[in-house]
Amino acid sequence: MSDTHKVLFIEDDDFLRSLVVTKLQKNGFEVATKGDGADALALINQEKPDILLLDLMLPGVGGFEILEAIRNDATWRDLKVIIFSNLGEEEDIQKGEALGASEYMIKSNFTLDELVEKIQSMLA
Amino acid sequence: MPTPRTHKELEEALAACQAHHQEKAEFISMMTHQLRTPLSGNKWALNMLLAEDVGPLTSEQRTILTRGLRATEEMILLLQDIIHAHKHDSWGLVYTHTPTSISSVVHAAVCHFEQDARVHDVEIVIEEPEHEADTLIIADEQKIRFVIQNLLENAIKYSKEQGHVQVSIHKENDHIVIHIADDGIGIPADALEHLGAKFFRAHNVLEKEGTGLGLFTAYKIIREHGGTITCESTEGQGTTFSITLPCTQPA
Repeated sequence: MSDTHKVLFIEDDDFLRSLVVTKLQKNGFEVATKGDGADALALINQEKPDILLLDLMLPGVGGFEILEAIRNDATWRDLKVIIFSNLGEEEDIQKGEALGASEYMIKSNFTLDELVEKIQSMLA
Repeated sequence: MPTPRTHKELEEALAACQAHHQEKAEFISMMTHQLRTPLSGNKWALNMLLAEDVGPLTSEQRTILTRGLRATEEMILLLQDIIHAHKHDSWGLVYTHTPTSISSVVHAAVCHFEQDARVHDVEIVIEEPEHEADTLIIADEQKIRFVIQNLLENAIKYSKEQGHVQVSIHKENDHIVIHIADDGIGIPADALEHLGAKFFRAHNVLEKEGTGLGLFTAYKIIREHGGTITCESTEGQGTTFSITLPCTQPA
């Protein structure tokens, strides 16, 4: 099972989290989750994900701050990060790109099948 | 509020209105974000059930879930319209003019709808003279992109099966002309003169979701760039929107 990819999903909504976990697990991914933005780097160090799925509006530390910390971290600066949010204004997307997000997906515009396809193509 | 009289009173009234408007904008932004979260949950859950991720479905269950999913997707689109309309129709628009490549804006907008076009079986092609592709005009790039996206979205939404959308860009003297032509359901003759009016929707599109705010905003943006936007259409055969924008910023 060493070729199983691990996705870390930081999302504060329980229902969305449980749907994504179910979908990803059914598609053969290992999934770790967290419901807030606190200590994200420590969590990444512990979980060592292949890809991070990151909500923006989180209790405590927001998604943009987490992304910034990742890009400034020597070990994790190249981690693939998908911003997965319902904030979808141009300025949010531009900010995500400026901070080095690998992808920006607006949740309500995608199905979970499309999310799985995106993750698979990014890890291929 | 009593009628303000002095200059100072007018300024105070304006400041109060602006503060109120800011509060309203923040409320709408917060509300739309909050609404999209449970709607995303609905969409994903219904999609997963329909994909039989959690067990097989009877055809009756499938029919009901499909309708539920369609309703959820309509709500998401309506919410999107409200967000756009609110953003572009508050207090007059604030423009940030920069040198803008219409070619890049069009390519980005077409790219944005790639998936939508595939789902609706619509082919989008862009035509432009190669030597004009780097022409820059002074415009608000984001707002022009909104206009192009809005027209493309309509062209896809009101397409027929195996539809075609052609976007062409060319320079005419000191103007850029953009045509967005489709072979979709077209606009009834009696509706053409009302295009761009707030909340107006032609009778042949009423069964599709929409608010009638998208074109209103698009017309406003083009007018405020000193440009023109016109529409030619034959019901049942297709529609062409033509946008003309000056290459230099209006004084």
